[in-house]
Amino acid sequence: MSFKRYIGPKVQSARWQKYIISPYPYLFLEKVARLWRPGKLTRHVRISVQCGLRLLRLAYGRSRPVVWTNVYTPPELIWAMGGIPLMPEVIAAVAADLGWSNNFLQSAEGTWYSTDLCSFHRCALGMAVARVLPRPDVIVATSHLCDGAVKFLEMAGRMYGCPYYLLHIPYRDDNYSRSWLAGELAALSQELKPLLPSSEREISLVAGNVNSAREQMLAVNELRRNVPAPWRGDEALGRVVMFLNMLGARETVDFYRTLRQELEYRVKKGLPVAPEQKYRLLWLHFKPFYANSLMDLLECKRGGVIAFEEVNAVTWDRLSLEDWWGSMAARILTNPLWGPGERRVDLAMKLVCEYKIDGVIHFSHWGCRQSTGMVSLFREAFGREKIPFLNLEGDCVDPRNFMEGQSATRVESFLEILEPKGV
Amino acid sequence: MIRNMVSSMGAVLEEKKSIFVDLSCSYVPVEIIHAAGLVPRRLLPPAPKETGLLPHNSCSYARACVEHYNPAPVVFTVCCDGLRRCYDVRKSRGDNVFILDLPRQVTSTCIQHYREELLRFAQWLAVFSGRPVCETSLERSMALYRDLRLRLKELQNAGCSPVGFNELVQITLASAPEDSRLLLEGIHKTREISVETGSVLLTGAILPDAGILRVLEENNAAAVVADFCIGDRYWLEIEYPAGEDRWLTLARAYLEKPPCPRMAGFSRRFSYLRGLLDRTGAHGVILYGVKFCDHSLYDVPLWRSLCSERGIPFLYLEGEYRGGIPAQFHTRIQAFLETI
Ligand code: SF4
Ligand code: SF4
Repeated sequence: MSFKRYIGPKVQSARWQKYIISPYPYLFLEKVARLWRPGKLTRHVRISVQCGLRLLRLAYGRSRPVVWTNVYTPPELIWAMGGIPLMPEVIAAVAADLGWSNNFLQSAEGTWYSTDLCSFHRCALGMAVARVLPRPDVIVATSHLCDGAVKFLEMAGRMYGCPYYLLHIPYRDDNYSRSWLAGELAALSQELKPLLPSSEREISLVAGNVNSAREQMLAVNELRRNVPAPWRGDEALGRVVMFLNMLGARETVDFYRTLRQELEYRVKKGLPVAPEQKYRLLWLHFKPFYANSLMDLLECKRGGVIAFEEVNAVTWDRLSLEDWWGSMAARILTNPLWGPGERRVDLAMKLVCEYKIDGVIHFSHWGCRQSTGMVSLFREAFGREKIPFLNLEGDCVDPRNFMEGQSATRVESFLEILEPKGV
Repeated sequence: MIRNMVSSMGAVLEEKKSIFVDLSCSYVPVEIIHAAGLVPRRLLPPAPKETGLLPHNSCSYARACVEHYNPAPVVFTVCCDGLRRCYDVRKSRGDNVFILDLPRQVTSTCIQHYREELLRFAQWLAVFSGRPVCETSLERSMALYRDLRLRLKELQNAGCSPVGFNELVQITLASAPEDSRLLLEGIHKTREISVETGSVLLTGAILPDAGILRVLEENNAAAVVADFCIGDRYWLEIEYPAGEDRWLTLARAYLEKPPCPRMAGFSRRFSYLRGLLDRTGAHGVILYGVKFCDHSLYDVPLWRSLCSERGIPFLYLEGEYRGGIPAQFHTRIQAFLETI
């Protein structure tokens, strides 16, 4: 029995929840992880596990102020202020991965949060209701991407009685918007100064880490153009936490550097990551994080490999120490998932060419109106270019919303119509 | 009587062949559209059909807006994920659409930002109206709308029935302000207003189906306030301080108006909602949301806590835009009214 399966049912008891909210188990597990000797091509996994454990240890230990934010708020903003960024949506994905999400989803539903709401937020709300998340000292939400995150974080601020700041993100990416947003970011940092006194040194360290990690990410993404694919999409989607929540931390640089070295080795030695790679796929949006057989079926049994995912695209420039707030604003505004929908379509089209994609799968996460709302645009754009497209409905966090058998059948039929181009 | 006037007004408008600009949100300053020589009209399309342009878990108002084939230019705001996607789909179809970046907070920098957006909006209007918006025309339009809003308020204070008032609001949302003023003057003189009793506060984002007002009426109750963006929240008094840059005045006035469920700031919204309850003396609250509207869904726990704090009953109804009133709503509303 795996550790995850063993611990899963236990965590629901109050006795175990007591351990979850203490920093010591994470300290212990970090030490255990140090003893772990992974294989030559899986060292990056150990770094990411250690990194996750460190984040939780810091957040539960409260050695520094804990700042809750939403996904796509640059975490380096918080690291540079000396805080610990914590994204409850990311924790919800981890909870789903560990098989814990059901319980928390039900807790949220018991307090009047509808099942029609996004399950990332619902699960995190359930965790907040159960008081198992690290307590926030302050909440900083950004208004881009989705409505749910803004509302959910404001609700959480009310539950915990902590200050809540909302940063409006302009819809357009132009010079005016960048300088306006830079001003807002600078003003926010001033306002947070009593709690989060950032220093020049910290900013310079964090900026250095972000820029180094970015270089490594670009190299990783370049290697992933290789045929056969050197990294599985299932894993790549599972590790997005590294840049979503950890960018700016030293470990992120180590993680991407190690990953790059491993992929280089694979490419050089011609070691494919999945046995038979007949079709190269582009994955849009996130994946189901709870245990399921779909991703294995796709990548290990039916010859479809996820060559790339839109969420791993690096679309922002280097951060500049001379213009810290300006470059941070640019980083936020260049996010293709925000602003006019055509930006996301353009990115997907570009990735299709760069990664020699045979077909595209959009995972339509129930409750996510911003992403699923684009399906007709994708269908039309890919249809025009005769690129096969599958809209797969499901849920990233709530297993009750996922018809595994039906999805498997749909994926299999989709693969049957593909004509391999890149292989 | 009101209904007769409304239909004759409709005919007048058709005859005039006015150039309409449809708007999807009550935060779009109608004054700017009017000052550009165009007629602002709230986008209220028929109920949606299943076209697949937006997924079935998008709200039915957004789906209706996306399927609506009308040559009138449309202005959206970044109100919600559904309407942002609606804008994207209509833009890709080649429709003449514009999107206003609407902040959720009322801070001086957000007001400044909204002002810039309004200027950009005016430029877009000028492209097809051929008439740039100048300070004088804006001033005139602002005065006209202020007058219109005051007249509406007077009618409401004089005891206009919720059903009748809603009909008036609907006609003013769909016609030139000059014509609406004429209509309101007529009603003021005839004073054919029925007075209802009852005390339910009806609230939500967009009013899914106005039929609920009749259902309440049939059950000897009435919505003392219809707190929707196509109801009371649309027509509120706005102060226009003299000597201020009019763009800034408008940006501030609109951002400061009573917050809809989408806006940020629980304390601001709570105090507005408490104020509504105090002012109206409502004995119960019905939150009437459109299915899959996240803003309304996040309002459910908020209203629940507010109502339990006050010891008044709360009912959450989830409907479809222009989807009629399902039979079970009648039963639920009756049961709810019994608890008041
Ligand atoms: S809910 Fe608010 S932002 Fe949305 S359309 Fe209505 S008034 Fe506009
Ligand atoms: S009802 Fe809600 S989801 Fe629908 S358009 Fe209005 S704010 Fe958006």
